[in-house]
Amino acid sequence: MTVILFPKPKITDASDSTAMDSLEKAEAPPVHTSTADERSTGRQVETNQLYPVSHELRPELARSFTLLSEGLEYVSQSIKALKEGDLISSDDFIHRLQALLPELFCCRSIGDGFGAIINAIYQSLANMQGSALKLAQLETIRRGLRRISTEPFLELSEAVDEIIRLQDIGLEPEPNYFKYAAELLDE
Amino acid sequence: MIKTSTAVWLASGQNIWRCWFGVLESWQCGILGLWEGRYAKIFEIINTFDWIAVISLKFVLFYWIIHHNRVTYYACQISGSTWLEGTMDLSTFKLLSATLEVRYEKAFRLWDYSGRLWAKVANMWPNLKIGTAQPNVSTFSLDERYQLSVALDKSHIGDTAPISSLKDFTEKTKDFVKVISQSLEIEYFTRVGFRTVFVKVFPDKQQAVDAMISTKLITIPDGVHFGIQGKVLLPKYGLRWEGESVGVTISIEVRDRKIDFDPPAAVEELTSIHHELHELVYDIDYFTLGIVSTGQLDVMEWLSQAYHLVKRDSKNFLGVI
Repeated sequence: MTVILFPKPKITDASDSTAMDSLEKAEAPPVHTSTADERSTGRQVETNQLYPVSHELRPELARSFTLLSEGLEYVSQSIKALKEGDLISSDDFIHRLQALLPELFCCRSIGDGFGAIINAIYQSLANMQGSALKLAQLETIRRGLRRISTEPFLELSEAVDEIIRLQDIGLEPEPNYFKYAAELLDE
Repeated sequence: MIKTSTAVWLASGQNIWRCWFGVLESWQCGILGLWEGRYAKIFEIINTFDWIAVISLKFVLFYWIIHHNRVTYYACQISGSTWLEGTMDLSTFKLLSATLEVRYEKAFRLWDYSGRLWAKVANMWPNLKIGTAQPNVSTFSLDERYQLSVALDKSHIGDTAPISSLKDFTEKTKDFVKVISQSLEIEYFTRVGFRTVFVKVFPDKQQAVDAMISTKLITIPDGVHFGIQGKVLLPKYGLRWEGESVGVTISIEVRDRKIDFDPPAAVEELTSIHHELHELVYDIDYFTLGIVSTGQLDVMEWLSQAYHLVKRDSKNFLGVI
């Protein structure tokens, strides 16, 4: 079968500017977005500014921004109190953080990475069984919260790196009964 | 000038609209001079009134109308008349194209992994057709609708026949951006841009020009200027609206386009096509001004929110006739 290929229809602007053939077209081709990026700030965009209508379109995302911001404030206060030698206040702030975590876990539809980190922090605190956290542990928890605060859609594989950090600092980010399950499987 | 009879017909034809116009007549007509007003005045009243309707009438129904910026669309549809056809509401425009572009630091990995990247894309979408393949940029098309390109420092996917919900486009874009960021090991984007082009076709150039001027975005002086007693032919307006981390470039213009197609002489089955289009083009580019990490970007969510903002806030730039 012979296939006849026709030339594309010629579509032209009907304007007749001076020296229009010699000047570059000001507008970009329709498939490209604007080409001028010289105004780029070079700073990282705030996540809540990237999704400005989350309250309307994705409430769990908006709620997570609020809760994470609150949680981060508690961890920072806890670290500050610990550095000042006020162990009770430090522990008190961590209890407040702990109270936010179940609701944050309810926002896990944001992504697997998000849910994994929140769960890991929750289990880490639960497994401490009331003991106060050390400074390095608090800082690692703050790091994890900051990560999901700036990158709520991070992949599970990246979240695992944060969870390993929690383990490395002496926290147990998995439920206690996992240990027994692992022992049973070994047997 | 709107005719009194048109409004009376609307008032008697539909229950809901009777409520609207009932209230409208009782307390706003006198103040704003409805019966002597022009289309613009009527439209202003409806916009104002719609908000009042939310408070006093059927909340759910009217909330939906406002939420989707469909006030004028509904008015036209229900009335069945042409009394609001001059409106510049975005719903009266056709979405011509939608494009997402991501930019990143030069990804030299492209030179090694270009084939693997496109093989992954072809696995997802078997109808992929190659356009150009060069070391620094390769372009493909899909289903005679999507255009895809991956370059050393930017990539884009464009839909040339988008549906108004952008469902297909956002789904494809999500997959495409994922393949790019994984294959090129991109950790962050230096710019993410979403560009939509809307078009409204007019039967002649003058109507398109009148529509553009009626937005009051540009001032057209009367009289002789540059020694010419002339008239406006192809008005154009553009601006850049920027915040700290996100910006928008808006362009509204009247465009004339000629389409010429002449089949080869040997093909008798086809005839030549010569067509002239008079269009009002609304082109809006929504983009980030800072760095966006890959873990920060949910493409579908970002596109959905950006598109929502475009639809919601365009009326502030388009104005009404």
